[in-house]
Amino acid sequence: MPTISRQATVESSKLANDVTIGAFSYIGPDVRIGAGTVVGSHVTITGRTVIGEGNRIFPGAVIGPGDDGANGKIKIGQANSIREYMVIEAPAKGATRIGNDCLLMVACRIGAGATVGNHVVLTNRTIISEGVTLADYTRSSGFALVEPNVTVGSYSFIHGYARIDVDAPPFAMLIGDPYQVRGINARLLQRCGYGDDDIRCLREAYRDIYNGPGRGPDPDAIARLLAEKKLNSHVRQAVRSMTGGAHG
Amino acid sequence: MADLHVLREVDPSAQVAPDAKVGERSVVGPGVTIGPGTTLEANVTVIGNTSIGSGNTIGEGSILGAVPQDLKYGGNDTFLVIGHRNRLGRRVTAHIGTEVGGNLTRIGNDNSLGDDSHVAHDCYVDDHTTIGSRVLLAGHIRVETGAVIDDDCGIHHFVTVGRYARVGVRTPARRDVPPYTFFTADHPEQAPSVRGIHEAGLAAAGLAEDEQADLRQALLELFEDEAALQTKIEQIVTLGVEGEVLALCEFCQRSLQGNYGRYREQFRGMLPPEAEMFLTPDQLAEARRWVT
Repeated sequence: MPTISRQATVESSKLANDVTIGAFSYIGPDVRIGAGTVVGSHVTITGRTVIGEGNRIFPGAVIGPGDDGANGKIKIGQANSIREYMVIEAPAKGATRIGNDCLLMVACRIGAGATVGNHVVLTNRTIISEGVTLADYTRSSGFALVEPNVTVGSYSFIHGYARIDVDAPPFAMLIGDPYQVRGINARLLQRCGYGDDDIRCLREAYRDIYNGPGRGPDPDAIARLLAEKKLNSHVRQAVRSMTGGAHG
Repeated sequence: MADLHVLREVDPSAQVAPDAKVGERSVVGPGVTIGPGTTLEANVTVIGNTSIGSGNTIGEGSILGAVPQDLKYGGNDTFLVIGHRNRLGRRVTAHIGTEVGGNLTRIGNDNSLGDDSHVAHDCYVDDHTTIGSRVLLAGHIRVETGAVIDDDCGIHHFVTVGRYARVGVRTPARRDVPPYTFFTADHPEQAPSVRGIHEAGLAAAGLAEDEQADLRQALLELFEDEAALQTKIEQIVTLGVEGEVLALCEFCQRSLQGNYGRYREQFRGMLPPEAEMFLTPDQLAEARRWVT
């Protein structure tokens, strides 16, 4: 039997055996919660929401459709921390997805239909608008804003108060409002096991690519890099992601 | 009997003073202490190893004592201590300490914290501070007595906000804020800097007229050109100054010596200097198990 505070209201019958639900929380009828997930007090989970195993949902979090028409799903993976007053919204159709091992701090917001990868860390008050894609290991500092339908590449760091208005590359430090690329997120890459050689290649490539007249990637520098025979595989991946999508 | 509303969840092991008020739908977890005359408004959650002194008002929806948002936190029963006569706004969040940061988050006395403000792990907020709405205090920060932090400021971890300083609205403070100064930037991308003297702070500090005049002169000299700060400090100190002026010079010197202009950076993975002041001997012994 799940441990449910007698002050909580649980309408769902799909809670795993060792789930804990805190006082004054409300769990709607179409919510599934996986084993070991702990839900704090004053949490509201509604809509067609599937929450995996080992998540920790802190007091005051709200997970569910923002308005009545939003009939889409919310799918949350495993071992995430969803901190106090986090809001995760369901889309009109399709799904809002969150991967595994994410730390989503106090009062962040994940908009309808957004996709958040694995190991993502969002600091307090980061706003992820609807339809955004955050790749694995994306991190943000406080008050960051990602505008609707923008993609942020993996291992990128969104600086405090930065605004991401168009697609952002992987591995980058994203600073300003609107953002500019200022070098690579070397410390995180080091921690994640990237070799000194890879980091050096990425740093040099980014210096070339983001040295052009505009704030976007310099197409000439990209063409020069792609012409190289022995291009570092991470650099190739990053450059491809810059040319692949429609920027903006 | 304490005025405990019918719809509430108070753990039997919590120590709630007889005249403390626990508002409707509030939750008080095991091991929590709430002192006399403290009011928890509706929907407040107090959990963890949290002690709240007397005469505090905790606004609606505040959540105190949750675990740190720090990947280094090891899951131990660290502390959140809130002193007396503080006014916390609505939806204020404050977290317990981490083992490697000294085990303690502390909010002193007579502070005012705005709605949605956040006090992270291992912060030391002293007395009589005014912290605005939506202010984010990251980990390991010291906010000294009388400091004012305006709305929407994000304070970087390990920063010290000096005595009676003021941080302007929406300023990302990434380095120490010297005492009695007004510290801001025109927009969040600009590196913030000292923009002048925080006159209201000088007045609030209760200094004698001549001490105020000395301090004002020292502040003008020190921050006329911040690139020359080191030289200016040496010039002023060799004059044999004392009191608040000397304290100001020492503060600036410590910040200059710290990494990235943050004195407290050097206490990464160590007990912060305040731990001995604020932890009980037992707590200090526990804290020393994790760090030097």
